[in-house]
Order: sequence, then structure tokens, then C-alpha cells
Amino acid sequence: MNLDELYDRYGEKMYRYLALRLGSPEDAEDVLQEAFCRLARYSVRRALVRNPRAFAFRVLRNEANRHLAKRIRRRAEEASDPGERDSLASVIEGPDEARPAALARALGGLPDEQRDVIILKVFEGFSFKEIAAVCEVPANTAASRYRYGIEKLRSLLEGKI
Amino acid sequence: MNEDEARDVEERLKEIQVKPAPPGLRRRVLDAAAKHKEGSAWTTPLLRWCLAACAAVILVVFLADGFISRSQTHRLEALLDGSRPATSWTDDGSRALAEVLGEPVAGKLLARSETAAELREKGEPLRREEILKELLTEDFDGSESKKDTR
Repeated sequence: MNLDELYDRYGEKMYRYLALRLGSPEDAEDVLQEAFCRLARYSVRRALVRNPRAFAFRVLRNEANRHLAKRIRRRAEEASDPGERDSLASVIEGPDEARPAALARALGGLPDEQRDVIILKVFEGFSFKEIAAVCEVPANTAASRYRYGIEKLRSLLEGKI
Repeated sequence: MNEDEARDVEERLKEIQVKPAPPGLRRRVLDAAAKHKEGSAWTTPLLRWCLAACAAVILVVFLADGFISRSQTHRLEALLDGSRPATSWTDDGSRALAEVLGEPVAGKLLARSETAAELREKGEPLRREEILKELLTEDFDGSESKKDTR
């Protein structure tokens, strides 16, 4: 599968994943570009993989993690507010409406690894096996993270936390 | 938490609508990827030509080496068996032998091959065993071995 085809098939979904993961449309655009540059270098692997979607998201996730690590380092150096990264207001439609805003806030309040699994499962429709391949963890771990994440979300939405 | 509750949370999450990617992002991303691929290619056109030329030279050297070794083996066998004239070997090899072994030794070897040629002309080919026996029992420093002198 060439890059044009890959983008046409998964580009929008990849962008959505990044937007939810990073909480910034500009960062999502930059990281998507970086991920495609990396995918361009992996032409042989790209031709050999059985599941191109899982492969593309794995590369994307690694790129997003690199970006987050850089961002955390930068913020630590600048000693700014670390809570800023969890805001999803700039990437969702109707951020001023109460319900989506509360949901986005709750999703943003999850630990990164749980949010990662929930985005892949709920928004991208990945199976636990595919999530395991993307996140490089056993499928059971992916399922546990999902379960804990959903539980925490529910508590957040019900105002228990 | 049961499955229904989990499904309920999932449904509520799906209400989040992410803003679509800005127009022109596809072109920007794919152009950057194409440029990156060009820049990170480990071979340039010039390097590719050099690699092809080196491969061709190596192939020629191997083929030539095999061919030369085989023809040299045939000539040596012909000389030792006495079944084929070895004049070409002596002509070609005399200068090289003189350079490598020195004049006296090369002279002896050439004299030996001339003798073999003479015997062949007379219909009495000198056999490999005879030549080897003589070569083994004779020193090439101009003096005969003890066995021969006795």
C-alpha cells in the first residue's frame, strides 16, 4: 500500500486519534506529518505487514509518544502548568456545549495509557488484539486498561471523582 | 461495572465530535513524506552507478581468474603427462619463470620441458611419474641430490 492510499484510507482517523491524544490541532498536524515521513522510510515493512492499519497506528502512536515526551520535558523546563495538555476543547466540535465539554474534560482527565486504549477502541473501532499490536502490550493488558478507563470515565461523568 | 454500563459510557463518548482535519493537510503531509523519502535514500544515483560498476568489475575478475586457472591447469597437466605439446607454456612461462625462480632454476625447468618435447617427437612420451620422480630427487641449486650422486 503506497502512502497516498494509506492516507486516503486512514489519514482522517489518524488525525482524529492524534487530536484526541494530544489535545491540539497544530500538534496533531505536525505529528501526522512526522508519522508519514517515518512511514515513507518503512517502505519494505509497509509492504510486508499483514495489518496495515495496525502498523500505521503503531507508528503514529510511537510518534505521538515521542511528541508528548518532548512536550513534558519542555513544560518541565519552563515549569508551566502540566494540566494544560489534558484539555481537548480545541479539537472538538461544540466545545461550549455542556455535554461534549464534560465528556472531553473527562476523557482528558484519564491517564494517558487508558485514554489511548479508549480512543482506539471507541473512536477507531480497533479490537483488543489490534490495540495490543499498536500499543505493544498483551491483549489482556489492553482490555484491563480499557475496563479501568471506562470505569474511571463513568465515575468522572457521574461526578464521583 | 457491568457491560451495559460500559456500553452506555461508550455511547456517550461517541457524542464527542472531533473537528475535521484542515483542508490541504493531505497534500502537505504527502509532500513532506515524499521529500523526506528522497532525502533519506541511502543511495544517490551516482552511488548506484558506482555500485553497479564495482559489481561488474568483481564479476569480470572472478570469471577471468577461473578461466586463467583452468587454462594453466590444463597446460601443466599436458606438460606432466606429455600427451600434448607444451611449447606455448614454455614460451609464455620462460620469462615469468626466470623472474620468479631465477635464471639457473628456470633454465633447468625449460631444459626439462625441451627434453620432454624431444621424447614426445620420438614417440616416447615422458610420463608424469617420471618427471615427478626427477623433480623430487633433484635440487634446483645446481647440485644433484645425495641419492642421485650415489
